[in-house]
Amino acid sequence: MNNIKTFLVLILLVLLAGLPFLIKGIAPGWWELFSHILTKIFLNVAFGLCLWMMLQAGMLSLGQGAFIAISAYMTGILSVKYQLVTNLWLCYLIGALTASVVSLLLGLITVHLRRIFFLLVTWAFAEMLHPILTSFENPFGGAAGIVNIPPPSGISLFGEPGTGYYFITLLYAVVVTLIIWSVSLSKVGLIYKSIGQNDILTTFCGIHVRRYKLQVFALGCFLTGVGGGILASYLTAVSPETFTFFASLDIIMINLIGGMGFIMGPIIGAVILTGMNEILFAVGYYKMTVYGLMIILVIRFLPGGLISILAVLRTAFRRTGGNQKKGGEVERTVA
Amino acid sequence: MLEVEGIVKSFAGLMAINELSFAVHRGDLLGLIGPNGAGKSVTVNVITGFYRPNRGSVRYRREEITGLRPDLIVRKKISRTFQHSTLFFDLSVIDNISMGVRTTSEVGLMEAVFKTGSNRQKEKRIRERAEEVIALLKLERHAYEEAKRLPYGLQRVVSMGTALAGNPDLLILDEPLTGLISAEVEEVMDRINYLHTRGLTVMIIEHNMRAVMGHCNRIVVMTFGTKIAEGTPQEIRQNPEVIKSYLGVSS
Repeated sequence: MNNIKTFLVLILLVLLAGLPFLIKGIAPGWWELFSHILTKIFLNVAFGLCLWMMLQAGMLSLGQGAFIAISAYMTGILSVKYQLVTNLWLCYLIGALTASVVSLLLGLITVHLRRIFFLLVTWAFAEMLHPILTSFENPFGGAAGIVNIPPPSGISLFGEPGTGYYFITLLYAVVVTLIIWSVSLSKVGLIYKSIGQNDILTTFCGIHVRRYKLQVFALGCFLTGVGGGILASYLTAVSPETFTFFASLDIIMINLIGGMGFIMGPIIGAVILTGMNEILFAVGYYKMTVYGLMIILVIRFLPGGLISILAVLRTAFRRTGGNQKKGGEVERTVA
Repeated sequence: MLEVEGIVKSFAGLMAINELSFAVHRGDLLGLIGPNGAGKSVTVNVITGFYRPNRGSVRYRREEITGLRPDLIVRKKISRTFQHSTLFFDLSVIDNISMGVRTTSEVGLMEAVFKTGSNRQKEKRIRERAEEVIALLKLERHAYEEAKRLPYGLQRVVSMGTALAGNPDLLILDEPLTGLISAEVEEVMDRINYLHTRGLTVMIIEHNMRAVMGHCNRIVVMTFGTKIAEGTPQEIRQNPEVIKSYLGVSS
């Protein structure tokens, strides 16, 4: 089973790596649009997975947009506003570390709160940020934000910047996925899941729950922050309007639509939500109406998200033949 | 092994435990018995660090553990189960039990990310220990089932398994028999007896006196937050105080 999975993942990666050359070969005019959408998908996959990991520990953060903003602004401030750091990669790292440290500080006073309060506090924190960014010319650039954020060095390796950002964000998404995947398969991931299900019982398994909650929050915000920095370069500008409440909502929607039961959930969710965002761009004003309707429909009819359809199919498949093999395996290992 | 001395615990002025003292000796199968509301579970919660007592002290192996963080008390090899079937319901049986396994140093985040050699070894040891406990409790057939799909009696056994996986020296079972049908009661008691004969010190909290009377070597009886009797099952049966306030009423 695992070999098949690894094989499929490798094929997907090869396809994604070859895609730019394929599209440029067949329909070069379309590449700009494609690379734009795919870049956004890759960023959203990573953002979605970071929240997914936190959700495993029962931490629904409604402020992930703020952590993207912190890192994006940090990148802008360091590279353009004060021109302290010329290497953009270093900016992303510093931005991510800043987001991580802020999440730790926020976490210290909030992670032990009940879920609903954690949600409210992270939301309040994100909302708090907006007026601060808007009103301080120094260092945030006020309402206009910071413009002319340069691309990272080495981007010209791939020809035009569109392809460059495609590969950078692809790499980012792959690395984040791998990190979160291996964590979720380890005892640490099991501890996160246990905390999400019953934190008191987890405590009585000898686990310092608060430490692990802080850890997952800080890790999630660090990985999110790296993407925030890349996003700043990609958009070449950051302004308060880039990081509204809806940026945070999108990341939750990714998990809701895709489903939180499996790591594939937010990946599928990111693809669908990004595509939907592009289409809904046309309806503009009514975007939130469509969003609201989707949230209601998914929660009512598909609480496990789209991935739950696959899970149901898999169980049906197992029932027809896979089950016996698994039982035999267990007995062997125990004996 | 465990000494509880002069514990007082009140909630908003309501006295839950008043001047409670007793001891658990190595190799005991101790029953802490009393009617509902006698303060048995509060006692367990004080011992395991979930509640901080207003007064009094809890000592384990001559070491003061009063008010210590629950996860640190657990790491001193005192495991407990909960009154209701408390499990990680969405996790498989083996994952439930793996959660109880305690390695000397916890698996770190960085080694989990990079899958270092020591990480692989730790994960392997955790898995082996979980499989050992599963074999001990005869749960092999259910190892990969989700805990919520098991019958109630087996869920109790799994929660005991989670507590056992940490290799405790003292196992505290909070009403392990409540809600079980009589056949299941026997089965669970058999498993507890088996563990006891293998050298584990066990403390059972129970309101059903008959169920545990025959199995325990010592019994502490509580009502209204105080101890009214302590002794062997025979002594308890003949204790006038117990007959008056407990046996007399329920039998």
